[in-house]
Amino acid sequence: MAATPLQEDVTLLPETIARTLGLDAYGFAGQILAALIGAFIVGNVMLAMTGVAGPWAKRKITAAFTDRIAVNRVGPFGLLIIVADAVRLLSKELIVPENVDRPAWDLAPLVVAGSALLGFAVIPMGNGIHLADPEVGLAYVFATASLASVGLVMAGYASNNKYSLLGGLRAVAQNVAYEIPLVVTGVSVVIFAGSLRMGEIVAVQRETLVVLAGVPIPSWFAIVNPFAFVLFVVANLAEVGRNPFDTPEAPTEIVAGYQTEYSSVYFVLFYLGEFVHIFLGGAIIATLFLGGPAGPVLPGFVWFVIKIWAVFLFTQWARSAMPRVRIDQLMEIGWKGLLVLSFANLVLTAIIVGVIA
Amino acid sequence: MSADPDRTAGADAGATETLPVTEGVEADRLAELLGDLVRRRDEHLNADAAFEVHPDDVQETLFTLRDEAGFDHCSCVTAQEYDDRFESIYHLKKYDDPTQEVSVVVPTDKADPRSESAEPVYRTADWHEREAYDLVGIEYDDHPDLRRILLPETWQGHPLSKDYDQDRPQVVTLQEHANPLEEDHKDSESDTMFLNIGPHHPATHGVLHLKTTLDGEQVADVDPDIGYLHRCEEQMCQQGTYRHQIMPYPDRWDYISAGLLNEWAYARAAEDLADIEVPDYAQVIRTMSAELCRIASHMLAVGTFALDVYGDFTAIFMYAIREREKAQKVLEDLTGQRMMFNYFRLGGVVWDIPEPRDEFFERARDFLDGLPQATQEFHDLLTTNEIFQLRCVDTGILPPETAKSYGATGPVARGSGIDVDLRRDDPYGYYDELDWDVITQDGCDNYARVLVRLREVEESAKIIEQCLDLLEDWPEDDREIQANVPRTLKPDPDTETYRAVEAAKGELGIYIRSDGTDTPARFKIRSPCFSNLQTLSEMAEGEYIADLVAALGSLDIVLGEVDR
Amino acid sequence: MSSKDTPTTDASTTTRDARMGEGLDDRFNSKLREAFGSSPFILTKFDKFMNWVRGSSMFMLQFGIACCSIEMMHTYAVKHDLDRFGAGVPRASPRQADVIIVPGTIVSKFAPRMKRVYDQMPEPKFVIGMGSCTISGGPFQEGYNVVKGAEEVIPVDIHVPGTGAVLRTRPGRGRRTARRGDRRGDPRDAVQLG
Repeated sequence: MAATPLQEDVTLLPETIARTLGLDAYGFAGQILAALIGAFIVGNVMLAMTGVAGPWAKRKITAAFTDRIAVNRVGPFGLLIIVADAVRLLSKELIVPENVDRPAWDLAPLVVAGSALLGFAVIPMGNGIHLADPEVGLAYVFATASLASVGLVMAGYASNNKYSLLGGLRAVAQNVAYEIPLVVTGVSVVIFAGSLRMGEIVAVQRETLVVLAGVPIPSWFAIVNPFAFVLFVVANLAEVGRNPFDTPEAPTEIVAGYQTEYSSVYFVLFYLGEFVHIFLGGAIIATLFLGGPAGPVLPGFVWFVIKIWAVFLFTQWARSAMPRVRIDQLMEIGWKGLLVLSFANLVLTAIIVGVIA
Repeated sequence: MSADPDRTAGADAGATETLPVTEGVEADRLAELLGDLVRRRDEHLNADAAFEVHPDDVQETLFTLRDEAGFDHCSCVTAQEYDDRFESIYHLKKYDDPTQEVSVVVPTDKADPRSESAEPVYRTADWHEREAYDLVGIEYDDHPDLRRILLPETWQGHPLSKDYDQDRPQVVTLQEHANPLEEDHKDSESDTMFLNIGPHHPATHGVLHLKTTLDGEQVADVDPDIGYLHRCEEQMCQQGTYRHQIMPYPDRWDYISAGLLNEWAYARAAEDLADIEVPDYAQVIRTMSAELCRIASHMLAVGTFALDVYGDFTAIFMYAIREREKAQKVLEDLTGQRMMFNYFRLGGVVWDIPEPRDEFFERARDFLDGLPQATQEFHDLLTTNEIFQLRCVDTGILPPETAKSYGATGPVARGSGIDVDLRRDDPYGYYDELDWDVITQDGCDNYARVLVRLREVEESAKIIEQCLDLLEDWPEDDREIQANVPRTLKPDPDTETYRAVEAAKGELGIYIRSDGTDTPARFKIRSPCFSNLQTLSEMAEGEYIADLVAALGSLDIVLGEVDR
Repeated sequence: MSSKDTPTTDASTTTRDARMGEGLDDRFNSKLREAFGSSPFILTKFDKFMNWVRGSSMFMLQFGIACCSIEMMHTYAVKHDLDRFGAGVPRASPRQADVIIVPGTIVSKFAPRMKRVYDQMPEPKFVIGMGSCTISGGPFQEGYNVVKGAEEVIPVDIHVPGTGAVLRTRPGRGRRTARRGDRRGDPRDAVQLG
């Protein structure tokens, strides 16, 4: 995985760690150790973010949309609710219903939560925080992100509950339908950038597009190709299963969908997985369309986090303001709308790039 | 005043057939129409005529009345037991003119209470007769599915019959068919899946149980199973005295803050029975407070419908609750309670507008002033939202003919283009003196029903506005809040009446028969939700689960009223 | 842990035993208790901490029965905002809920279902009986079909009296549900004391 980056200014995080800690001396073992340490750091940063987002930020944001206050009794701004929620959820009884399909039922939450974390391995987060930059970076990200649907269908099927089954089936139908437009739209970016490598995609966006009133506007793909950006954001909403595309969970219809039967730790993993997925979606959007960690004044990593949270805020806004579409309408929007539009976008991009180049 | 028979007679000039009727003529004409079917004619306080027919002639009589005399609304079926007989009363009305009423009385043998079912004539009779079978014990031949409806299948005896012993223990089990964890519902012959939605499910608005058969995501069959909140409201009312003890219970039928509308239903029936005249001032207060309740109720209906369609406790729900809070605040100022008002009394209301009156009026007006902005907010967020329209337009279709056959009333009927509103058609209170409109929508779908509710809120605001003006200008020495009603009310024996008001969900009717004591001998509640809920299977079958949920939400049922 | 308050617990005890095994309920902190002995300093603090956790953060079951559920919705919503106390996340699935508020009259047909829902919730779980109907059947007590209080079916921790207008007292009481465990260090005590 430790391919040499094309951009001379990019050093991958494991290399930095190896150099700083002097692990280089231990050869391959040292490299592995450095990679593990790097992965540990990145994983924890992301989990910490979801930890803040899940029990606290989500409530506060929703409350702001609905004229409420939300958690404010424990700690400053109610921040200690993160501790309380986490400990309380983890200390609950883990109920294993009768006749669940045991290995699948246990593995599902791990797959859901883990698959999203894997994706962060190839995301360049600025300030040299970048675990790996393989040739197939973008393909890898999409591959890991869509692993989650396997987890969801495992959960739905193994739970021995009809609501879960419906939820699992919905999840897989939805993910298949929206994965394709997502990838195809991603490809249009690849055509511009000329590489699947995440580092390179970010590097390309650093170039200045135009200078308006002395302010250089970078060639972020959201600015270069706003059409693709909108398509991608919409498809991403469906991919992470948020309103208006939250049919797999659909409380009020199928109770809690695939996670109906899960309690305690497993439920936490699902809950966490959902948020990690939203953040991974945000990270992909930031990398592909918003110039990754690029931004003025503040350090790159801060910009990266800001962009991820902007996407998170957007999903929460959609959740508060938009009704949920019906499953058949969802399929229709996916197959007849987004898919067609994304291919049109791809062809157009190809033509334009071909003409310019 | 509500029980004015002259108005009843005068109002049907444009009704289905010619005759320039007075009460007697109409009844005679009907008697002529029915000919030999009528065994005896009777007097009910409400109806133009009460015909007694043989248990085997029920369908023929009802078909004649429906097809040739235009009685297309089977409002209610009351079953009761006398010392010497059982009796089912079919209260028939016309959608065009609800003041025209006929009661078809079917006495049956005490030993073998058995009569013909009205289900082929009026689909709504299905549940009504099941309820009669369940609670009183009359059996209906030719009924498609005569099972218990409110009580568990294992129940022994019929609780509203005379020989029922309440102290005998009953065994209630968790039944197999309703066991959500039963190992496998798969039928090897079919591709359908049986799914229990409820009684505890976030979309059932309480404790409703839908036995649903799914074909993939589509609903192949849905059978509402009710009775999870059957708390014996009729028995409670039959135990209470007219004057004081009954009034608290109506608050709990439709508990979505529609309490005053329900209280009015009882007040209207009892005042009709005991011939009590309500002072105008009290009528205005009643009208105003009832419309406040309607706003509160419709707000919750819109909020929970949004909850069903959005899926979470999101903005719309919270905004709806916010408006409700304001309405409830005004009601609390007036009645001293947020929900269980117990504010009406027979012959008026319990107390006047609280002092200082100006402050109350100011509060109420503040609420009304904010309301247009709030409804606009709902229109912005909800009804003009494209995804919302995608979800709601043309889903949950309820054609007007089906709605009539199921006895649907209220916003559900008006959303199907049926122009019916008892406040206008059978005026009571102060409604006929005020300027307001009946809202109808021709969409017949979920969207139309939501629109009706939102626009009715605006109409209610208009009514309250006018009532506030009236109350403010009312001369101080003429503020009579209660008529002079005897402390113990004992209506004449064997007086019967069936009176309905337009509650938040539709026609809420009360049948009372007195036996000369201070408690009713039979107290029957005709709940609008009970009839409206029956339309669910018509609306939802063949649709998606999501539409089933939305259709259920758009019906705006309250289980307290469905099950009573 | 007196048993005289819960005369009808025979059935529920069987269920509980089936699920938790026989004997003393020692699932909370048990490993630590074994390791540190009977009354060590660290465990007191740990218990206190756990009670703080359970008191400050609860998932409510989205469970409406009758009249009181309307007022219950109002506590979640804008004016009272139960979420301030960390209890504003209604979960539709009982598997993920900590607190079940029983907001209304329980009738014969519903009682077994409610028991089922209660059984589906994971420990530690708390029950708030809201309104007179859940205390005794309330105004409907004489009804032929009405269960005379939720206590006949499931153990109730907190009773909130009144019919209808009770909600102003609720948020604080809800918190105290879990706090009642404070003195004993075991929230299950609260459940059993009823």
